[in-house]
Amino acid sequence: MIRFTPEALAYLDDYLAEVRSAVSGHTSVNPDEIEADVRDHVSAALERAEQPVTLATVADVLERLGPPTEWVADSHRSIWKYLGDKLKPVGHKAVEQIRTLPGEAYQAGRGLAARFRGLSHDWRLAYIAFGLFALGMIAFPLFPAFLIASYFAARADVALARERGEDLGARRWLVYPPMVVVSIVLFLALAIWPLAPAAHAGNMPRSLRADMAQAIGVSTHAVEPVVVIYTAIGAMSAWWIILSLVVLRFPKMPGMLFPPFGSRIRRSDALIVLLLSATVLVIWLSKVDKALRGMEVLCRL
Amino acid sequence: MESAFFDNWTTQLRKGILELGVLAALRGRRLYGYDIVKRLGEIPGLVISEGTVYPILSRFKREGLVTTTLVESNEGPARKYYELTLNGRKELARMRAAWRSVRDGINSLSPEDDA
Repeated sequence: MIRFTPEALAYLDDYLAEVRSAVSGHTSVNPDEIEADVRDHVSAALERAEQPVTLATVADVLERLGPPTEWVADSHRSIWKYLGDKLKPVGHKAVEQIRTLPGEAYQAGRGLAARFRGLSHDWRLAYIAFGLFALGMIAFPLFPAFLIASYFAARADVALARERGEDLGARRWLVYPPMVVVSIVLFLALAIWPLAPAAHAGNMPRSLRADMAQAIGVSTHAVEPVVVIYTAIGAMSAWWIILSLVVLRFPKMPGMLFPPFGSRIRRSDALIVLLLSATVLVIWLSKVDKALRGMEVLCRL
Repeated sequence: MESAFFDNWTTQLRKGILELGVLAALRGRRLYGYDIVKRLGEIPGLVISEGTVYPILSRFKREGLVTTTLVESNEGPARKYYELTLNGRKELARMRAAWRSVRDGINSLSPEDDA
């Protein structure tokens, strides 16, 4: 067991933190493994050094190891790490801006800035994500732009936590809001878009309504809603069959597209949706003869 | 200007060759990280920052080119030894062939006597 002077130990700890920060978020490497390798390297290099090992001796070994930021090529950085690194300076600038505020606001801002600086990198990213989300709500016309920036910061933080094998813990209350809002919007858009074209199916000239009503066996007043509902059910069931087949083939996709809850969608869920949608489609097809008669009426246009 | 160009060129060259060097150092033997670094350090100009070797080893492990074994050591904690897998040996052979081909090609274009 190598003994270090307190200064040497602090210097080594800072360096190892720098190693972890520099290599985390890179898709091609394992940060835990690299940190362990660097620890082993330092131990081996100092095996015959005089103990307790001094700051100068440790600094010499670490200098030969070089700056960790230069160890991994940018091309191996994950997109979330890249975006996180880009957003960090924005957060730092915001903190610096607070310093220019007058009087009490300045004092309050200073306290906030000091707290922010005292946070670990992960917490800073989480606060940036939530801060952007909150700013978006205050400056509502700009909400979409802030929401997107906040979403990327939140995903960067979650990706970092995952790469390090850490639990998000209380940080999730800061990063989940933008992720949930974006995921819900995306999910709804993906899930129910066939309703939009189906809604137009009921638009037909008045002159055709009577013929259409007779063809499909409903009253004249009910023609439009029946056509819309029938088209919507057919389109939705067909679309949900496609979606469930995609999830069955790529089970990790919901988790990637709709964090943080998308990962809870499992193959068994997709199978249930597939069976339900297929059943609805079969029932829909049993009425298709009437639909075809209706189509014949529309073809007279 | 000339120096900056040469520095940039050697940096780019080193990045590619270092990966070949790591695999070559492990050919026919298993070594622990520090040993690999020291052996590569004996090649002039190849390893400027010793730490660069560790992300390469981590990536090779992830790609299945090397495997690791923990071995008890009399001099301290257990050491992690790296060795080539079958895929690693195949990749090394391919990289050496490519390296020879480039080296011979360059030599044929410009024999060292002409330089």
